[in-house]
Amino acid sequence: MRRAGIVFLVIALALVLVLGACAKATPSPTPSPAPAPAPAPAPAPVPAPAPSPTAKPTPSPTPTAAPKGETPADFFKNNVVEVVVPYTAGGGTDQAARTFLAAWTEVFGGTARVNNMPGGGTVVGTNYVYKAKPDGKTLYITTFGSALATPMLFGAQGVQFEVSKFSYFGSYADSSPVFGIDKRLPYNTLEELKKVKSLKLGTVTSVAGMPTSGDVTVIYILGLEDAQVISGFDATPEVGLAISRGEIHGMVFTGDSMLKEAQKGIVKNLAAVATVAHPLVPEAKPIGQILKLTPDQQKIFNLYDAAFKSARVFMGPPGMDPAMVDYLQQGMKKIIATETYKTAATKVFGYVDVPIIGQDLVKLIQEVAATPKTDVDLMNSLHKKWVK
Amino acid sequence: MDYGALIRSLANFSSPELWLYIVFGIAIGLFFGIVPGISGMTAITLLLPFIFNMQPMTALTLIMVILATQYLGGGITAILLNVPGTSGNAATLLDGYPMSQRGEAGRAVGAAEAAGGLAHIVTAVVALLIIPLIVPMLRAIVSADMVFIVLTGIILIGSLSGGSLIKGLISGGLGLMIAFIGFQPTTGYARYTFGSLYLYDGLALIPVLLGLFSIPEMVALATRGGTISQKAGTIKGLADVWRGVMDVFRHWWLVVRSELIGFIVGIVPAAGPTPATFIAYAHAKQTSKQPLNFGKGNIEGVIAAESANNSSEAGDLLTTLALGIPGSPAMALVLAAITMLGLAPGPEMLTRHLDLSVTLMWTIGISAVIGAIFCILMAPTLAKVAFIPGRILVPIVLVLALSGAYAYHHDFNDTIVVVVFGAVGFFMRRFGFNRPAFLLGFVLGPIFEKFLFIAHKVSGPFFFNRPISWGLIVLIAFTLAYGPIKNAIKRRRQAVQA
Repeated sequence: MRRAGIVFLVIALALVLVLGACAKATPSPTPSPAPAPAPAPAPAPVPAPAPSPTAKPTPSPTPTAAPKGETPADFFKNNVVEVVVPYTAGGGTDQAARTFLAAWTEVFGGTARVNNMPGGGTVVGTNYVYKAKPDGKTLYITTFGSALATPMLFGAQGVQFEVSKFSYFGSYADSSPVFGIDKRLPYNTLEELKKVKSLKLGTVTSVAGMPTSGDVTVIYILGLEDAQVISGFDATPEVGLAISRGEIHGMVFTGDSMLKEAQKGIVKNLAAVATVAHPLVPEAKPIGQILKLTPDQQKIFNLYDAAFKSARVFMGPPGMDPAMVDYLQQGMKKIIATETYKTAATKVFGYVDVPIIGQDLVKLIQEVAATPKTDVDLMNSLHKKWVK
Repeated sequence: MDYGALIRSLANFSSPELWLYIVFGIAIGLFFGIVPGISGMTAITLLLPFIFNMQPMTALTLIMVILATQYLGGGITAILLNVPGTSGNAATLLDGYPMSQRGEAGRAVGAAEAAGGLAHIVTAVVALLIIPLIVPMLRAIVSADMVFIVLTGIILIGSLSGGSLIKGLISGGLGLMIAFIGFQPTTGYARYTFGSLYLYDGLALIPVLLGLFSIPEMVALATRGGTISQKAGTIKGLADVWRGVMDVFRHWWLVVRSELIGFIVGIVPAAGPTPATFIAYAHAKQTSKQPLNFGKGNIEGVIAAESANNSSEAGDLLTTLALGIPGSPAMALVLAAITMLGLAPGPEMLTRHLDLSVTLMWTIGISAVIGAIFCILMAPTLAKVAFIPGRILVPIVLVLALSGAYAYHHDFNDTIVVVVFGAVGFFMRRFGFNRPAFLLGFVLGPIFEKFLFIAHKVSGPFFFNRPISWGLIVLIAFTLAYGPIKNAIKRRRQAVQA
């Protein structure tokens, strides 16, 4: 027994040390570049929001100038870029990233490879990119709402980044959320639903312990005090299955997902929980056009609309060379305009969306960052009330 | 349903290009299945960038072949090295490795491959026939019923307990406790994470599996010395392998029951192959005439485990195609591929694209048979691993286990988990605690908790008051009572004879 224990400890220790030495190391520093001309002015900085309760951000590095003689165009043509996706392969954001990168070589000339880095509800991937060298070799595609806005506003375990400090190129593949109910129910308008007792909506649970807030927003707008949001489902089709079984009455998910559930004959879509209708579900008008919202309801709707977007954000670590950031912003516009992207996007999303590039995205993040704490507290209290 | 599609789809196999992809897929699936930690999922992830440019028929065929054959490869590693090639092969090593230690590695591999190949063929045909019923079936089973289906699996922990029921229950309970580390899926609150991001998602199955089973056996081999096979003798070649193949047909009723268990568990969303293989193993032990031989090299254990995990594939695929709900991470990748090819999982896959869906089912069966025949022919050579000196084999297996854990998520913490659970497994083995029971609790605990929460929130405390749930409660009661009643009848017969 003693001999066995000693043998075990020796073998284990040796292997752990060997593997520890071989484990992925942080990139070694590149040689200091020769003095470069002063870089172009950086994009307007996003005002720092109130730090999230669990954030331990590291200081952002000073902008890195590109090596002398190599323009951003040459850099991306000659280098393999790692694009981190904080979800497992095959998920919605992973598909969106691969759809976007399908046209990378066509536009930039070089190669981009996806590095799936799930963990901590996107926090592992976001931390990794935040601390990565801003040399252009590590980029990031993630979901606006769950990866950026939620930790910023509601906090998340283990956050080591500040959302305002990343380098943003643009966002794409936004999908207006749509509210749908069981097709068998005898209600066809939101006004009729206001009189329903014990409405049950289903949702998945996301990072920070908060279910996707569309259900809470809808219940609050409809004024249904005795409604319930049942979380714990793994994905949209599972919620759809629960509706078809009669366990729940409705759900709020992205428009393309709700269209699929409607095509299966499970739901009828009543309203878009957004300021614009989804292009694939035009019959579901924006909820603000159907019902008159009170000031508090408008605040919650605005918070949900701004902060819980499903749009995918293409971004990089803090401190990237402004010329490189500008090049990637322009490159993103070109990617979205290629036939390769359009064909792939039509297959995956069902439509080709209009991206938000550069300063427009930064402005959107500023708006989210400026959300009053009282609105965030109200959303939190509504969650506690209805998500049992 | 258009049953003509069953015959029409066979015409797709006249394409040489399809056969090229099938052969290529078999090679990839077997390789990735054999190497621990990197399963067919890794292979498919690497193929995803190429999916966009492929035709749906060839792309999906390639993916399904890889998924179908990975368990055939994984069973070999489980039997020869006590390291499961994939999580679905975890129960195979319980009796497969002891058979290797007895010098019967060839027989075990023959039985595993034959059971696996047969399971794929039979369940592919069954899946094709029940296509019209699958959606109504799944819609009839609600979360409350799922609670009792999973509970049926959990109570089988008692069956796995072997000599000491108390130790078995402690092991299962410990597995349940460890499974609850991480964020709770219905409320999102973090449990026992101690502020660690790594623990936020809970402990992953692969590192726990590799640590619990491979390290204690390799430590035992290192201290004992010699080879895996403790019985010196000549390798019996193909005759021994063929004996294993025949064992599958001799135990045909066990094969049918295990395939049924695997298929049903595979249909259940979010279950996956790991619960299927353990539930079938526990059922086989409970119903065997020689239950005390389980864990010591009983061929029935190998047959039940491999029949179940290979059967779960067809059921899993059916649910994925019909409802768009993947039963396992591997099927989530299949779903992604379907979407990236411009298809929509759901009723359309069983109506408008029925020919494609049927072709995929046939592909599973055909590729599994080819893969099984190949592995059976290779088995005499592979069985020689059991005679390699431990001083050579132990470092190789330990490195495979640790690198397999690292390859899973490229996270060094996974290798630490392997070492920690290696220690846990070592002491469990030393003091007679049941590692399969631990694993069953670990795998089924979160599924049980999820459905219990949802059922309770939907229907209140009396969520079980429905016909299907009551039927399952009766089944559970019968399962609990079966062992004691059987023993009581046996004792009475012995008393009468005496």
